[in-house]
Amino acid sequence: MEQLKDSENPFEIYGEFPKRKLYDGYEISSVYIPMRDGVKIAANISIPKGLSENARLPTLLYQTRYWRALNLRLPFRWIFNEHVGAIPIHELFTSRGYVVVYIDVRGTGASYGSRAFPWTEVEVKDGADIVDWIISQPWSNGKVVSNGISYSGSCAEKLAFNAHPAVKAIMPGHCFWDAYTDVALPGGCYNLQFMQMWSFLGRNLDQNNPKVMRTIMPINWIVMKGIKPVDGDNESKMLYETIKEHSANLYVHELVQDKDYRNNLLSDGTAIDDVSNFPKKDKIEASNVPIIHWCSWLDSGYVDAIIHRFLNLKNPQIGILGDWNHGARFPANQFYPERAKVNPTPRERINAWINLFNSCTEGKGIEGKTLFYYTMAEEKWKSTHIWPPEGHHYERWYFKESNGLSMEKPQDKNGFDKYKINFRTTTGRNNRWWTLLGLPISYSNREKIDEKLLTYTSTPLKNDFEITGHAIITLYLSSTHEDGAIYAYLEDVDENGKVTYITDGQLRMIHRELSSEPPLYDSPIPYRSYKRESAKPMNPGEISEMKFALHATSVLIQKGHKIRIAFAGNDKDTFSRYPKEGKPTIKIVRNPEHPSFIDLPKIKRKDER
Amino acid sequence: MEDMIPLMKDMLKNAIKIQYIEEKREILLKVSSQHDLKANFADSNEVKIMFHMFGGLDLNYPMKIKIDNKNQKILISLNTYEQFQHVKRIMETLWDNTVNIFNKLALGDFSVIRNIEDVDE
Repeated sequence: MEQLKDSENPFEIYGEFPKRKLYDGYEISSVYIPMRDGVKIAANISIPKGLSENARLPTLLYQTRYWRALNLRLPFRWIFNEHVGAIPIHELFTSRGYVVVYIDVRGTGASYGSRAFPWTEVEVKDGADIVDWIISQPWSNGKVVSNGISYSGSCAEKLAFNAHPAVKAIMPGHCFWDAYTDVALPGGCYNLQFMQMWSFLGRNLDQNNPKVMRTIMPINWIVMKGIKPVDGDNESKMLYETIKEHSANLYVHELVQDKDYRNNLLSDGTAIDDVSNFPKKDKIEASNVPIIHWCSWLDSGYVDAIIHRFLNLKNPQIGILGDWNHGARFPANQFYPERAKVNPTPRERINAWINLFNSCTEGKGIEGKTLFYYTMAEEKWKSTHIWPPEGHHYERWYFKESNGLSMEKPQDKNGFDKYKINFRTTTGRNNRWWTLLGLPISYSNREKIDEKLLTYTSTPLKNDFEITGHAIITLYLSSTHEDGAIYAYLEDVDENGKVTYITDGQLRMIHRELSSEPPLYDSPIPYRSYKRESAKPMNPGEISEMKFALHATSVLIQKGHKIRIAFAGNDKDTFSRYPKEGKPTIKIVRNPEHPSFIDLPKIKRKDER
Repeated sequence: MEDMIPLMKDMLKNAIKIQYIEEKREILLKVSSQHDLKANFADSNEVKIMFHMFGGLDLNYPMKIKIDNKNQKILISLNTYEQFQHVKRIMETLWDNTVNIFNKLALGDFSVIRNIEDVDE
């Protein structure tokens, strides 16, 4: 790669608008690609217009489960093509000399087959078959790169499992490393609403039922009426065959809603870790494929996937953590809720992606590991080659009397706070978990919401305070019930009392025990196994230690602002209720023997070092 | 999808030329699409759905629709002069309404689609 410029904004470094547009416009065709077991995969191929017979181009492979091509309604079919609104923007890639191969994964869209769960081993192997097909095409130069966001991002990452020599770079965006903690059961709390909605959406998509879009994504529904069949399937005969095959599909909510533990197995012996990426670390490393992975501080638990990939994979890589929603369509920086446009724009972002891909297919590629991250409120991009970044240390802040938060250890031998769980508390439906459906993120009205929570607030800070990394909470807590959950919110309170959400973390109390086993992967956060045998009901009235991390963040809390930690026992529009019945009261103990506290990951500013 | 909204009205105006033939109570739409529609230009039911979704016209409104797939033309014939005037008025604001619905949906106002009937087979 070129030398880094003064700016640490990755989109300025890698995103200069291309000097030359190689092609103008593109032609679309679609085919079925046969897999090794005969199952046919629907593929759209976008080829630059005017490509000479001798031209050989690299290919961008994008694997989706959300329909590779849309059957548009009138009048949109007359002005847009079947890829309208699609990510990636085909025209950007084709104009810069890429062929785009956009496929419906097995069991979805217009592809044949069925699926017992997402990203089965068979589906992952399809990636290699598709790459084989691509490099056998007359327009291919034998080099393939792959990107994706969310589901497709995981497909891009899993493509590396195949270690196919033609794959020159992968770009997983906004996707998990550990499916259990990053999305399905963060802190052991079931992400009920998302899992339910995502399964509902998937089932309807796989049955070519656009009605579901009317409820979930009406702006998409008014544009399209279904999946576009493959060329030549004029009467949709093949499409109907595929839909029939999809009726054997199973969906994650039905499969895992009663699976609380990491080692719960599905009827076929599959565990949730079988869809995660960390168990395939060795395969990804063996491929040595360069990785460009990106996400947002505010996207679900996927933010932690960036940190874990960075810590665990030896592959050359660039990680990027910004301040947008899931998929980067909307800005999400809670310090600037009035912002209307995401920065960088999708075009600026994709130009950066193409430049990075070009360097992997034609240039020096990526050397070493760099993580670019955006510090919110400071509004500044930074970069690091190590994690946590230089200057990182933990500063301990104790929960004190009168809802205070201070660096002084508590003195009161009888200090505690009682809190009756309010099961109506919610972060709403525009939070870091609902954004997984592509929704904007807004944690508004926190002042009012905090009135229902148990809060601890510092005095105004005398100096700016940069938090970058995982804050870790240690609670000494008792409950009246055997089961329960604790949700912790880190917030900024400005001089006028305006409360801004920064990040949060959650823990189901039965999973409180930390594990002495070697962790499944390197992590900067307290390790618990989430296994059935490690789960322990709370002993009512007994004080237990609970240590858990908040999702990673980077923020500057300005001089004069206060730090607040707010605790809730439920987030009703997102997670399952714990316990299922009853209304526990919890007691957070804050005495010299059991001083509950938060360790804040502070970055010593350069002038302090 | 939201990125397309500002461009949409001009794209529709440029791609679809509308001719009102008052004496015959006919409306002719000539479409010049840049996209290869591969015999998937239009069918009459889709035209009705378009008028319903973006113009509020009843799905069973009496009209004859002739589709010329090859030349990308749609001829709409109305029974009476009043019906012709009604559909003409809708047609004249159809693209504005379409963009308006998009804008409202983008802002989260889903009420704009509340009165749309079940148009999916």
